[in-house]
Amino acid sequence: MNVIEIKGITKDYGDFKLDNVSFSIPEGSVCGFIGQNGAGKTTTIKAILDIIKVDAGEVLVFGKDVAKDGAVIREDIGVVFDEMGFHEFMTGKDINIMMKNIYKNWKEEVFFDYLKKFSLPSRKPCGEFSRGMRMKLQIAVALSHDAKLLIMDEPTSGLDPIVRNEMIQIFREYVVEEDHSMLLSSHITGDLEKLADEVVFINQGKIFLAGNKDEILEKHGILKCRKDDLKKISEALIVNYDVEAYGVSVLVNDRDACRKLYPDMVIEPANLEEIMLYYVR
Amino acid sequence: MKGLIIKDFMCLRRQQSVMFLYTIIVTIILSVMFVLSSNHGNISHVMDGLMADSSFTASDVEHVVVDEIIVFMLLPFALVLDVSSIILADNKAGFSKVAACLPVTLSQRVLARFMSIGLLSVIGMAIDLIMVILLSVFTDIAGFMTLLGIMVSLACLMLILSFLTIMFSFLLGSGKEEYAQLASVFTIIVVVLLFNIKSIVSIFKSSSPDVTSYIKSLNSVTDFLADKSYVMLIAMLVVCGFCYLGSVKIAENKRGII
Repeated sequence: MNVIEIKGITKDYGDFKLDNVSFSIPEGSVCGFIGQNGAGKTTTIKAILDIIKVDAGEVLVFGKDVAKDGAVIREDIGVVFDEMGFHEFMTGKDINIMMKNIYKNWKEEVFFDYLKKFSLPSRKPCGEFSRGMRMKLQIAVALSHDAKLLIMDEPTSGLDPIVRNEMIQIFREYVVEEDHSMLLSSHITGDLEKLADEVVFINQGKIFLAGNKDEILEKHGILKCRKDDLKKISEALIVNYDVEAYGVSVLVNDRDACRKLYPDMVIEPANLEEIMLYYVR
Repeated sequence: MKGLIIKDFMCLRRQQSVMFLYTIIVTIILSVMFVLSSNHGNISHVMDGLMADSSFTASDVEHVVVDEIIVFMLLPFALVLDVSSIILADNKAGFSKVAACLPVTLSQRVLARFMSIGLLSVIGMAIDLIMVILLSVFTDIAGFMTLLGIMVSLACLMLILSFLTIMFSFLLGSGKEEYAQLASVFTIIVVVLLFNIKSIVSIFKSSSPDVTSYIKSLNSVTDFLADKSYVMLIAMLVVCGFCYLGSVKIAENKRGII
């Protein structure tokens, strides 16, 4: 079963268009949503949460249409944004009072346990928290109402490596449960490489690559050759290339085929960042 | 939805707890001063002076004093029903992003805001009730029911203003709360002027100023507030319904922005 199923959604803002976006996330998996700033990640997330009205297409979460059952669906979704949206005067205790009167499944003990685990003072106004603490507070809220799906928009951007690693550890613990799924949008591909099972690449409002992360990494490769050899490579295999001082680096979309066709050329594995960079260039 | 109302009250508690206390203290002090002055001080002297003037009747003098009370009675509502503060605080925090991800519908979010304002008006009325009781028990200016009627009318007027402010805030978008407040005041002024256009035209048309007719007009407004508070209540309910539906519609159209 797919926890999220997006079918051809379109949203036109005039200067930016989310164009026929379709992808799905299987239940129990972690999906990395990759794209540069302004690529359409946040707009897609807003469509998934029914925050914006799409011009066309359909979004199903837990098999239900978000346009019809948005409020019910959001009961089982935990959301973390890049910026905390709580009022700066609010303390952990205030947030608990507010949330326990909103979420049916709000677990007070779980929330305070998370605050303790993340070393967040429950009586201190969250406006006095550091960026890392604010993100942890959002995660504590997102994880305290039995959410089956965690949606995070750039949760690790602007954080130092230690806090980022802590957060990745928290996400790993969350997805241990079989029915827990996660959509994690980021342009920091290193984090996604550690966590994701599935990846979706977006650029200028269009999905250009989606699928199993390992398969995508397995298929793609960076082929190193001389400038003259570039003509020999089949165009169908070339995603993009980069002309360097001593040769050309080519991102190919079928590493095995390239190895067989061009045994003399060096082909190295590509990481998610390289794949993104070559595709969007 | 209850959580959103609690959040609105938290916003006001943090921002205006001192103001709440100040309003209660000022209301009590004003009421006591009014009681003392109307019995032994300047208000009593002014009333006697006006009574001595043949152009004022006893009823006119009473109305003039009640008009002064109305100004004081407006104060708690003006301070407590601070809808702009809540909207500004939400915008500053970026709370709309959080609210949009909560398991509440857009119409419930709007309703929560309207209910917060309704509950705040109850606090305003509770503060005003202190004044109503003190003035009706310890002075002869006006009876309890008269002052209670005025209080309900004023509460309805301020609620109308607040509901319009909420709707205009949705319409104008974030960062324009002050304009929304101005627009709601302007709307009320226009409506009042339109309903009284005949009297206004007659005042401008008359060649010589007629003080008695001015006073009569003023008295009729005071009487209306005191005796016909049910009209204000009906008007408030109609405006509430209109503004709620309007706000939901606007919020729906501006989904993702609000």
